Amino acid sequence: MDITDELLISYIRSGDSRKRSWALYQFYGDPAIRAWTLGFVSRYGGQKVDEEDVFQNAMVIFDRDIRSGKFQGASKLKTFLSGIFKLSWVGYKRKRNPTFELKREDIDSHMDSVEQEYLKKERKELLEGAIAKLGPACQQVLYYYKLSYSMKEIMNKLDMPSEGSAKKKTHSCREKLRKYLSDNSGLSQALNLDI
Amino acid sequence: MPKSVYFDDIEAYLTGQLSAAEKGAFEKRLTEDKELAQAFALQKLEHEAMEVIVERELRNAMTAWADNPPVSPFLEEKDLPREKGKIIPLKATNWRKYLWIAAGILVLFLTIFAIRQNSTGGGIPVDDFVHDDTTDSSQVSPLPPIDTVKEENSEEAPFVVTPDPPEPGNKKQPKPRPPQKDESSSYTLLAVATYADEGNELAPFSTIVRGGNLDTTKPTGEKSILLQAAEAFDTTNYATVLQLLGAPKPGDQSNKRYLRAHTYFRLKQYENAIPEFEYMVADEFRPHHEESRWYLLLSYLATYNKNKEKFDTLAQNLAAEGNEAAKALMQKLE
Repeated sequence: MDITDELLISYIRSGDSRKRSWALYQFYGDPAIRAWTLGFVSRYGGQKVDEEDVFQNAMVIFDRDIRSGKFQGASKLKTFLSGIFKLSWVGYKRKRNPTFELKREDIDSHMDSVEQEYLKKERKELLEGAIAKLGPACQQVLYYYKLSYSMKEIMNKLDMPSEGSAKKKTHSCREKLRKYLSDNSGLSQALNLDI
Repeated sequence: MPKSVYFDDIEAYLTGQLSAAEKGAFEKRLTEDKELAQAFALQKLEHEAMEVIVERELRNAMTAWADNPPVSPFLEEKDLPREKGKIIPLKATNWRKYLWIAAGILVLFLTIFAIRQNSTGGGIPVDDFVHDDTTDSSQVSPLPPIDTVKEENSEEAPFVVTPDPPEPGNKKQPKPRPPQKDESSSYTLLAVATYADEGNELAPFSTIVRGGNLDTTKPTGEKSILLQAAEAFDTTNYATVLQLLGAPKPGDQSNKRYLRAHTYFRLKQYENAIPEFEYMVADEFRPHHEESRWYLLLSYLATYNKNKEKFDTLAQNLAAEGNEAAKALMQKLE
């Protein structure tokens, strides 16, 4: 069986967590990719530990863009990941040196589309706080929901009696989250929302 | 709070179900309808919040992949792709079949052992915490927080990503994989179960850190790295803990080492946890010295095949000092 980009994309989007983990690992654990990212970081004076941090950040964005359909197949997946990695490196370095810029040869066309996807640190912390209010059970339901699991799969995963109860639980958890986000005016303001 | 009348439309847009034309039409409506725009902002935020959960789990998984790569969904040797540059994390070999049988016997033995223990009102709790270790480790999940190990499906149950069941009707159904490395041993299972059992009595790490004599909060009110890491630990963000604490280095504060050691243990990286606990144990004046001896014992137990002698020595010392838990652990081993 050929491991194509299409197969990997379908696995990353898959409701099967075994396939999803395996597909993501094809990038995370690829020695060729990691040699390239390490070499890239080294060119800018970075260390292995910096590369790992930045690579994990890049993987998170890579995964999200594939699941959300923002990756349109305009390039190979590896190329797409390398673009995200470069941009993640810029973000990482700018935290320490606001004027940091990539060398001309390292700038490519994938970067603009990715840059806007960054969640600001502060915004993310606020959302993490909101998630923490939900409790583990709701976090679990919403995790599977966000990964596009069907209600039947959520039912099986969480050992629920029926698809209906899975649907009800998902609905109530989303409602709980929505209520928290909506009621917390400080949060809304901090997130620049006009709710 | 009820969902808005626009819920389905917004959901279709946010989950990428609309065609290019439909997407354009929806975006036009967004600029014209303020009510829709408000509902959209809130629903988009919901998705961002859910994405935070997915991100957290992926980071935890990546940290665990360093030691335990996920298993290939193509379990048959003949089906494994061979192209240059492709990664096959694990390969099925014939000897694994025999490991399989051994794993089955081990699981049976442990089940009987746990039932017997429960029937006598003590011993190792048979819960997801234990079973998580016996299932396919391709779904590398962090251990749940020790203070939230409760019954499955309860509101307080820990968030653990469980592996998917085999697809019905699929001829190439993935067979359960034999456990790997130290995790395959009953010693590891016993160590993990005992850790979870003991852990129910642990205070949240952020409290432990605040209770120390460290300057955990800066004069500006900004949280210290250590406190941030402790809070991340309490919310099972183990990858974040390791990111914040960095790699072990000489001169690290004791609290930092203690927290890092527990994080490694939760991530099943027992070999990494051992030197951190050993550091705490080496000097009796260090904070958490006594507790570290116990957790070091559990770390030795989790890697019993490699650290049998160290385990035996420490267990005997603790038992001689009247440590009932150590005595009970030795009895279980016998």
